[in-house]
Amino acid sequence: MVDAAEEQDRGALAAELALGLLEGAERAQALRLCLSDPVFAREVEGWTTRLSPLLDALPPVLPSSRVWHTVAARIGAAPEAPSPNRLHAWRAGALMSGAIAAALALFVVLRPVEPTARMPMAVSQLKGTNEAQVLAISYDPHNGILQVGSQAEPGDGKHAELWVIPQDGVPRSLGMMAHQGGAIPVDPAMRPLIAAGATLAVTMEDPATAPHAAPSSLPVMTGKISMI
Amino acid sequence: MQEASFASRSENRALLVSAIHLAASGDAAGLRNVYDLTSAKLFGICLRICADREAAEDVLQDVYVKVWRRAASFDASRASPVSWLAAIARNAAVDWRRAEHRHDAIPDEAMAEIADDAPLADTLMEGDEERLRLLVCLEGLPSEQSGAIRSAFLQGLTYQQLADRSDTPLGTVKSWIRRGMLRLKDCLGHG
Repeated sequence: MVDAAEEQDRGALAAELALGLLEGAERAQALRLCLSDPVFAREVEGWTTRLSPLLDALPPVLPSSRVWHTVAARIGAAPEAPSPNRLHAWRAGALMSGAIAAALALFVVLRPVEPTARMPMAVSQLKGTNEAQVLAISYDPHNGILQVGSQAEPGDGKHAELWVIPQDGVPRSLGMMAHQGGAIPVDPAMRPLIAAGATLAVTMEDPATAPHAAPSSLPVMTGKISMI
Repeated sequence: MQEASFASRSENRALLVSAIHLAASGDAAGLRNVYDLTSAKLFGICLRICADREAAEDVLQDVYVKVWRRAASFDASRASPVSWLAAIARNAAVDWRRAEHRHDAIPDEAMAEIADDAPLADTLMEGDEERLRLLVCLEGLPSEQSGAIRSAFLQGLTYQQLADRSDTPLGTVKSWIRRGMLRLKDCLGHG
């Protein structure tokens, strides 16, 4: 029979193991207990998941594509075509087309992790071939909202659709942009993609069928997100 | 809009759970989906704890291989998929630090930053209940208790290292953590 004091000790031990505080013989003993006692093991796991929301405060960062390639090789998955080429081809085409070339300036305001410290902010500008039309976009990661400035109204029935292109080179739609500008709420699944180094792009698309799985045309504006 | 964002959050969770189940059945496309949905978040965790980009990428690879192997043991009724994955990433990164004996390389400023990492409860995203409850409970603790718990969890420091860092006797640090964790469990249990 386990008395109250012993139970409390085991509870403390589970918390200490989950926090990673134990060393040497104590740690070995606690790990052995994990293997032999499912109740204790669940208690340790419980602490780990209880505390894991603390990790939400850490800002997401995109890893390089070599990570997935190595994982795929290690689990024996079929190799994929290297996807960054898709982005390169797409972007190169955009720059050569010069259709509605413009410049897109992106102001991405990332939520400060330390409220008292500097506020990270991103700005970038990409020049097209024509007279620059500058579009400013700010992003509030706290609420996941993009604020888009106004742009010229298109005359051909198509509307501007905003895309984010992370390092894998696959454009994901962030939604249609109203020509008078305004807020675009970002789906929580997409929010980690809006990070330094990713590209934002605008294509002209049919608003009736939006949002699209993939762009149907070359981008009229692109710009890279970077923090300042 | 709050409702829409809530719907898409649970949709997202369901998507992740089904991707994990697919991986558990041995389908690599399932793991690829898990990777696409979570790699930025898990990499952020590894990067912060390892404080070295290359090492963090190596750890992240191990994390997804572990996820592949353990996917069958994931139980959506006991943990949220993101919490489960974040815990695997955190533990792998902390293990790497242990193996590297690199604790002393953490600059003091990083410690200060970590202590401030958790934003106040009222600045949280709407609807993030798990996190809200944890932060409210942590804020209810004396600052030395919550600070020690945060540093231990986010950096994997041992009792001795916490004691050295805060220039406090080992026994005092132990009692901060133990009392803090007891109160935390109590608070979360009644939340």
